[in-house]
Amino acid sequence: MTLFLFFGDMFVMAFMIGLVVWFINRDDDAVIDEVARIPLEDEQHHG
Amino acid sequence: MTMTENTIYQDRVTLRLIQFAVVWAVVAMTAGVYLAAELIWPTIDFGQFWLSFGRLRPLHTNGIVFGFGVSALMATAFYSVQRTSHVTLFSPRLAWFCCYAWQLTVLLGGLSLLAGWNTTKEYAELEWPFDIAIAVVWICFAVVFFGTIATRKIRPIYISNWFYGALIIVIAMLHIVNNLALPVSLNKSYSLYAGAQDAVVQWWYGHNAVGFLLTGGFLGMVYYFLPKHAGRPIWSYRLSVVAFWAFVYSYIWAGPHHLHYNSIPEWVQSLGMVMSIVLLAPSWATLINGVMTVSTAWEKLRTDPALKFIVLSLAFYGLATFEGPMMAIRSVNVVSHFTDWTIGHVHSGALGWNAMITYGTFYFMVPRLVGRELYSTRLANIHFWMALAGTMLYIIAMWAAGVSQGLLWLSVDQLGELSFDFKDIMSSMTPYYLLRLVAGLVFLGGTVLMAYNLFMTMKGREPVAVTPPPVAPAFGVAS
Repeated sequence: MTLFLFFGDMFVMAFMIGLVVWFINRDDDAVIDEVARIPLEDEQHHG
Repeated sequence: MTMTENTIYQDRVTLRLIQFAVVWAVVAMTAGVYLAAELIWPTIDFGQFWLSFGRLRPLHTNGIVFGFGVSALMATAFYSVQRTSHVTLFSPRLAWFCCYAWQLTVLLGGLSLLAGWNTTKEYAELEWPFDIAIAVVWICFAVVFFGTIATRKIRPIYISNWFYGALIIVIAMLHIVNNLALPVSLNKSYSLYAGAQDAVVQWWYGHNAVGFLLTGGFLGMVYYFLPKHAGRPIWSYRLSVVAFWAFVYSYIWAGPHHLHYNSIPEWVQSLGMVMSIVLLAPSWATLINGVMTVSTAWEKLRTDPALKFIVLSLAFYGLATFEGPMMAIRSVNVVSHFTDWTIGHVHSGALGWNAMITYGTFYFMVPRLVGRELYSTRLANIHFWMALAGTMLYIIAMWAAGVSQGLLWLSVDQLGELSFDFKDIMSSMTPYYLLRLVAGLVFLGGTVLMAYNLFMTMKGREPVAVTPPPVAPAFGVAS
């Protein structure tokens, strides 16, 4: 059981690390910065 | 852009949902205060079944989670998904159906609980007719939300929508699976699961309802409204995406920590414990992201009650998401389980995190929605201090009561017999319960002030016309 939990945890960690690596390589900083600004520029008021 | 009905954000339904959420907050918290009083003076049910603790308590929890919480989540999801997608709501009529059908379901469901209809599953007490109604409204909510995402004019799907999306999908799955039952009459059904399996399914539902509704959904609120209110983008967008995937991946495993030392396999308990501790990482990733976002806007905290509420909610979020994994450790759980410590933990999340982020968001949204300044900033500031004092008093009282109960129950004499009588232990809790009652009254008083302040702000006003701005060519969806 200890080994099961250990390998389970390692699998989770591997998934997380893979996710981070994938995401960091996916888009450049300028694109990410633009996406982060979406809530700041999403309204046009009238009157 | 020409302003037509098809290009104006549909905010009327958002405003109505906020009104319902505020009413539910007052009603369900009043029930909570009455329950706190009943724990000190049990005879104040006056022999009426509908006033008894067993019937009023599920009304309190369902009113807060489904009445207040879900109405607030629907309101903020409808508000933010339009704006982050640069498009109006998909099927506004269906959104209105969600708004009213949800209120009717929770209202009739609440009355059924007072009448004694109860499945006895915590947070899933409503009987099968209401379960079906909830599933139908929830699917309509999904159609409106994902329909808006599908018709979006901007290619990236902003992070808040991922959290709201996870809330909608996972709650649908949990609700349907946990409530599978065989009806035998209008007000009675039997679960398809039995014994230990029923317990495992119930706490898979129960913990993830907390996780994806009271945490995931409200994180969607944080990721949209915190940057918008602080006037700065989220500190690290990459961290928010990593936190999202880590959150959804870890949370779903954590339910068995509710069943430590019960008749389920020990490895299931261990898995629940380990995954609960792993959850600390994504929870605090969001906490760090939130605090760093607001760290360049501290000056706004002096004058802006809405931002005060949002920042304070992050502090309680950090506290509750640290305490939860600690309580999931079996050797800690042996003291905390079945004691008022758990009640304190739940309320540090429900009052400090869920209620405060919602209050901050409402103080931000309502003046913008109706195009008028908040009726009274002073009242909002008083509310802030009442909410903080109420929450702190509540959790301190329950921590003290819970730790005392846990240690006294475990105490044995030289012969191995219990040192203290259960009745005596409970009698010694009265001072803590009195403090909890005062805390509840203070928190409720603050919520009533907010209700007055918001309704005076809305009085006689309709939502102002707001349209999407032009989309940057690099982000536009090809039509």
